[in-house]
Amino acid sequence: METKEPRITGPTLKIIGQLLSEPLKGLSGAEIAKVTGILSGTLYPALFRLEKAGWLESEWETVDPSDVGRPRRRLYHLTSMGAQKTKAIFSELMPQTGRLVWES
Amino acid sequence: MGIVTILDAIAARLIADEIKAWLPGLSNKLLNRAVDLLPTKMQSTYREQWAADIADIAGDISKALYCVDLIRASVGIALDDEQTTLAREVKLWMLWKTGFLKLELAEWKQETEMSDGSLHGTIRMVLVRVTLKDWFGRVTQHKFFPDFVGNATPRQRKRLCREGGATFGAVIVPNKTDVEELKLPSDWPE
Repeated sequence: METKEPRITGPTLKIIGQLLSEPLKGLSGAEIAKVTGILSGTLYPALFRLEKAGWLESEWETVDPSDVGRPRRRLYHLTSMGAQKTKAIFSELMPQTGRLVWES
Repeated sequence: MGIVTILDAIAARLIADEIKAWLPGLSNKLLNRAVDLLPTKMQSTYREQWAADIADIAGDISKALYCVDLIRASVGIALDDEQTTLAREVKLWMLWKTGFLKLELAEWKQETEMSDGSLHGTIRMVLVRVTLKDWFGRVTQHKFFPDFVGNATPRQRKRLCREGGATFGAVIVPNKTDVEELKLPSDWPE
């Protein structure tokens, strides 16, 4: 089975950017959607692709549904590989201040 | 204020109450529909995950809209998961080449298997690439025209088009001839 790199689109960047800003606390799909404004139809396929590529991992919230009165949330984290790839992408996209841009 | 205004207000209130009563049930139906569209192995996980996410959204209308879009999410996930490429063979032939025109034919053959093992087969896709140069030597057009050979389902065609498009340098829309150019891969034969 082949492992492909996920397509880096605007919504993908928003998702990984949000997860990168909260490295310790996992985020649920609803939390990511709320902060980034990404629609659920775009969000979940993107999360699925990122997880399939090994950039993200997800785990169930450690609560008892009967205690909290709702189903368990699925929380997403960046993996170390995902964090490395993400940082590389963002450093490519960010303007490199101080870089020599012209010389006579 | 006439009696009509009062009746209008009462009617509006009754309609609003009715909609409010219906929305949770509608959200549940949409959630069930979205989950049904997923591959069987994923259904229980996503059912619980999405139910929790919906519970976190404020407002019945927002919940219902979130659920409507979950159907699109299911289709997207199912398309990404549906098949595994077992083998792939790509051949490229130069049909015609002059200073101004280059015509190439590519055959894309892929052996695939659905994620649940329900289908195992080979799909063939034929693509034509036309390259034109103008008087100033500028390349003016790259286009591919997909044609399928074999019994590919619409979902397989769409998936294959996406994969083929990424490799062949274009996003190919099934059953359409217009394409969007993308960057060619570095190992693409000139």
